[in-house]
Amino acid sequence: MEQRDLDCLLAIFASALELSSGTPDVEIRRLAIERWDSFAHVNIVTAIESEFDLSLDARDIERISSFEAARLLVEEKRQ
Amino acid sequence: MSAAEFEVDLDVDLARRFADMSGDWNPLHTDADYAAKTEFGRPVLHGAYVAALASRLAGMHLPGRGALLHGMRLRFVAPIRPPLRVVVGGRVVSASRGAGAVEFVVSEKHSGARLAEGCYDFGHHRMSTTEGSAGQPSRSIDAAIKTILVTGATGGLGSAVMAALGPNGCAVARGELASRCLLDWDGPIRGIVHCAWPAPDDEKFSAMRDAKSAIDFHVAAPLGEIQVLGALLAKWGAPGASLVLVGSSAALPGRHAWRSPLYSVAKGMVPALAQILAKELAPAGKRCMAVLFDVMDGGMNRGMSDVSRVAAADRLPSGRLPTTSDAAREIVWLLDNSGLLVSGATLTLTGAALP
Repeated sequence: MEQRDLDCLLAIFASALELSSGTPDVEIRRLAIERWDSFAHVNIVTAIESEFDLSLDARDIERISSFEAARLLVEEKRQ
Repeated sequence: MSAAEFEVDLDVDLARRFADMSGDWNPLHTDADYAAKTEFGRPVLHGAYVAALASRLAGMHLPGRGALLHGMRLRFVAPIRPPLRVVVGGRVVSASRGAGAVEFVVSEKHSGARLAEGCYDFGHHRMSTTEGSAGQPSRSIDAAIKTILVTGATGGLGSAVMAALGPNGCAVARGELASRCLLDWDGPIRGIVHCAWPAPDDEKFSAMRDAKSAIDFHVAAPLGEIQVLGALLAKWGAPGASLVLVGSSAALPGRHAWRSPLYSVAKGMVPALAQILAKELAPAGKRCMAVLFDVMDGGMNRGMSDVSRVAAADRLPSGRLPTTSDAAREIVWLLDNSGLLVSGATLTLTGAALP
């Protein structure tokens, strides 16, 4: 994934989860962030669909469990 | 007639290890520069290694424990040039009065190309059934009996259990379960770990093309296999012997969303069967337990996509996907626990993974 896309994805998570700047990517996991509730999850999903022009099905949505999982999902969907 | 199959990864260092063991350091097998100048282009594995594969087939599967090889014939069809994955498949072509013959084929996994073929004759070795003798203290039955049968021993979890058990593990082929020939087993056992299971199905339950066959394969056959193992432990299990059934979180509601309905149904039988067998085995001091695992790295999940692997790990507080070796260690721990209260229990060993 190009740096521009990584920055875009990180911005989506930062906005939806109100992350402080400098939060390490590896710490952006659903289990580790209390603010990651169902509302935040929907915001992340819709933003990814919009920014990356993707259509995510139910299985894709459930697999967005961390920043890393989302990055890999976007790469997989673009193939 | 029984049949069995297993797969082996042949790595580039195998020829050197075989040379170390056999003393055959012919450069065609061990010197890449030398082999590059031959018509083969790269090192060729010793043909005699095929004999080792046949030995594994005989000693672990056909006929398995108790095997005594009488003779073997081999034909090398094509050079074996690691690295590659091979499939070793064999079937009993004749058997009577404890002796028999097996034909086998070694083929490349990827292309299916036949690399070697052969046959062997087998009988059975004898084992004294008397404990102790005049002038010697008799051993306690628990210390003397170490054999633990492992079904699905060529799969991810089964092979990890075999590795964890070391020389005490004894592989059992699904063919032996299906044919019920295991009921002819002859010798005491300390336990059985049942890992063998059909791969998950992928058809909608309400739209199956051949529902009867699918249900026979995915539900009735595994149920029949557990019945065989229960009978086997009842007959040959030493006091304190255990049958460990491997369940799955696919039997519980979860993110799998019932994508493999027959697999979920069949794995759903495991807790009840553990209770049923625990009750029936208890009068003889034997036990049955079920262990339930979630997604793990390896085994049937070997082909999992990167995103699915990361997503599965994200559901664990540890953030680390367990391996088949982790699961095997838990099974050995359970076997080593001699308590009776655990009999009939289903232990959910998911590391607190979210459903």
